[in-house]
Amino acid sequence: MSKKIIFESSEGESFEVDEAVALECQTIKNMIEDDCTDGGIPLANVNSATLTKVIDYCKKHVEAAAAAEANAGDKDIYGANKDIELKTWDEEFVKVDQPLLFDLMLAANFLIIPGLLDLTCKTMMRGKTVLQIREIFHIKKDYTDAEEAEVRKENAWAFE
Amino acid sequence: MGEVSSVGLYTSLAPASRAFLSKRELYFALCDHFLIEDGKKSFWLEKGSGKKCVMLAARALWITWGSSPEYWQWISMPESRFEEVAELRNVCAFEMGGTMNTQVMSPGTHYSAYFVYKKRNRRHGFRDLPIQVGVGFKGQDMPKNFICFDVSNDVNKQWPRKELMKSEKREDGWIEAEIGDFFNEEGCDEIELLIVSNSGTGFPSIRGLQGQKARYLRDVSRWANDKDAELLRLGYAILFILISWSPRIIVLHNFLSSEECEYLKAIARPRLQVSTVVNIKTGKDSDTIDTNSRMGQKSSVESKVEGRGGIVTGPSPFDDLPVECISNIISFTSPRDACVVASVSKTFGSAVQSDSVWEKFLPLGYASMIPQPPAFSTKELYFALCDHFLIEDGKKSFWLDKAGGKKCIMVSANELAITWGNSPQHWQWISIPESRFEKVAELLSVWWFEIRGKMNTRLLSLGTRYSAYIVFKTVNKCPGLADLPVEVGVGLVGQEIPKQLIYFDGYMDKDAKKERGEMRDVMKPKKREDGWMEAELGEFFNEEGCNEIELSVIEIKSPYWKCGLIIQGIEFRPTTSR
Repeated sequence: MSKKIIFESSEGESFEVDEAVALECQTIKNMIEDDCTDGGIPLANVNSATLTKVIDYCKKHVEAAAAAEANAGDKDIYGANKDIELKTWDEEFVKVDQPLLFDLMLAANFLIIPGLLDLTCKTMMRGKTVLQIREIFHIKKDYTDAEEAEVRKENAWAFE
Repeated sequence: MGEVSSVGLYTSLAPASRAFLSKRELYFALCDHFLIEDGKKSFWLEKGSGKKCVMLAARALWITWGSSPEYWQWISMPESRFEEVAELRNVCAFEMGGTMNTQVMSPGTHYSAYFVYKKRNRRHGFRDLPIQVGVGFKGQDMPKNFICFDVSNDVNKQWPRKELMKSEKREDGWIEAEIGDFFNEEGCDEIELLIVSNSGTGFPSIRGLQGQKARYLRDVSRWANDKDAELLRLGYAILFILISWSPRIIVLHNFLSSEECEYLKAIARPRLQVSTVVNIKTGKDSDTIDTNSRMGQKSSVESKVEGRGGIVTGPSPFDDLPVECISNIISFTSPRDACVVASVSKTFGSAVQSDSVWEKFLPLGYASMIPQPPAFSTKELYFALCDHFLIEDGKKSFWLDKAGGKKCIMVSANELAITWGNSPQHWQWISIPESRFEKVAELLSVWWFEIRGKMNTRLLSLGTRYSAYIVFKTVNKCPGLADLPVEVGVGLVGQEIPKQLIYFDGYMDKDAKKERGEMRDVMKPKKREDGWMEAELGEFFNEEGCNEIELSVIEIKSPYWKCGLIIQGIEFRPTTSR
């Protein structure tokens, strides 16, 4: 029976996870190594909804890594298929609304989960237009029209 | 040459040794192709994705009969990025191929290979001739494709055109034909290329296909066919439909998939409670309307509704993030995305400038790819400085007079005080490739033609006599100005400035000559080596104690409208003794 780690969300809700899953988070890994995880780890800046998702993500990636290791002996097309399956899973995973996605990104940053950080950042920004980004994230345009035109001109190639 | 003894001072000016100020600058420098591996390959980054691209020189391929000058000859062409290209003179067996190490290219990337060539004349024997091509990993089966250098309109040709690979004209004037694609992943190390015509057409029927330039391996992953993008469902259109203005109800089609809605509902349901509703008119709470019981979703979805075009309601999640964090987020995207989001807001703009963003976009080990300046001997440095380059944010051009080692300067037109220069109906600022500056001034139409300028002489060599020249071009013989004597002058500020007269064209028809008489004291312009014209404004001696000179070019006497002049700038170079 593997060791369990207990996370506590900002709402005070407790989440019990396998140590292997918790180790996906570099921050937690450091804490485990320093042996200061007794009595649960309070995550004051991660809410329950976000934490649920983060744990899902870590679980899936631990399983996928274990499966890949098991198949490592006979490296064949299955290896590739597993990659695609995990990618598909990831892409489904981030189909959430923007506030949750943002929280996931912050949590990935705080807990140091490189894969999740990469995934959430890409999802938030890639392939979006300036207007879409302002709209989605409520960002105020603080450029004057002339300033904005200047910046756009400077980066004109990116809009082609 | 004595002036160049202080090497350290000039190293910072030499273009070749210029240190890249920022990672962003370095990134864009790497997007311009440059030669690597002794000129056998050309390397650059695809701007949009930061993926590595390589063009293999024809010299790096094996070509059957390639070293027999009667069949193939190696020539230099200005439009090639390589020193030599292969020109097919006459050959029966058209065969070539090569191998390439894929470590030069970005891993995890889908690449296409292109054959880059030019045709010299029509009688080349390649008409409707299928050429078998292929690219693939060494030791594996190579998928075969076909290209054709010259497809006729003859419908009776048996050749099934549909199977031909795409070929098209490139921006650089060459033609490219795709020869195949491959996925470069970790562990792949060498690819093979093959281009053969095995139909055995009679010798000497193949003639005049020029410049078998190179195999060109270019990354094809663009945003449009980016698998990540597709998988992540990025960039799908959200449709806004306004149902009612007051209260504000807008339907966002495509905003969430039904699964996403179900998910949101599931996490929201346990938290549902009756909300307080504020009456817009009275400003008081009214709990009589229960909106949430029917909405079933949290307000996070609706709060996005009003954000169009900079009218923003509610705080942005980015408000609380330091700019370094935004840089960090952007560094996970792509160079193209980064340059797009720079326009979002000032904070985003400065986040994109960060070195940490571009460090991430540069390929690993980029330091070794930067075209290394040759180790400068003082002599090499000297000759590097004899090529003009821009200083002071592109406002001036600087070089050394090769013969004397004296400093020369051209001041851009932008730095001059041009009367009416800011009103677009009189003067316009244009970019032309033959100018060394970003903008030159084009005279559209003025009556009052007046240009004045000042320059600090610290930039020039001491103890030297300089001449100043206006560097220009005429358009349609610059009507209204061409044959008018224009008063010019240059001299030290605070002293009397000697005036002389110049022509911008010097062209004068016989009638005009008769009418006004030849003016012997008017200087005519000269053609320069760089294609521009120049006319001398005067001379001055630059000695210790001088610090500023001024110049003027004025024609305000003639009552006619003047136009058709393009001014690049004012050049200062040592006076040549006569």
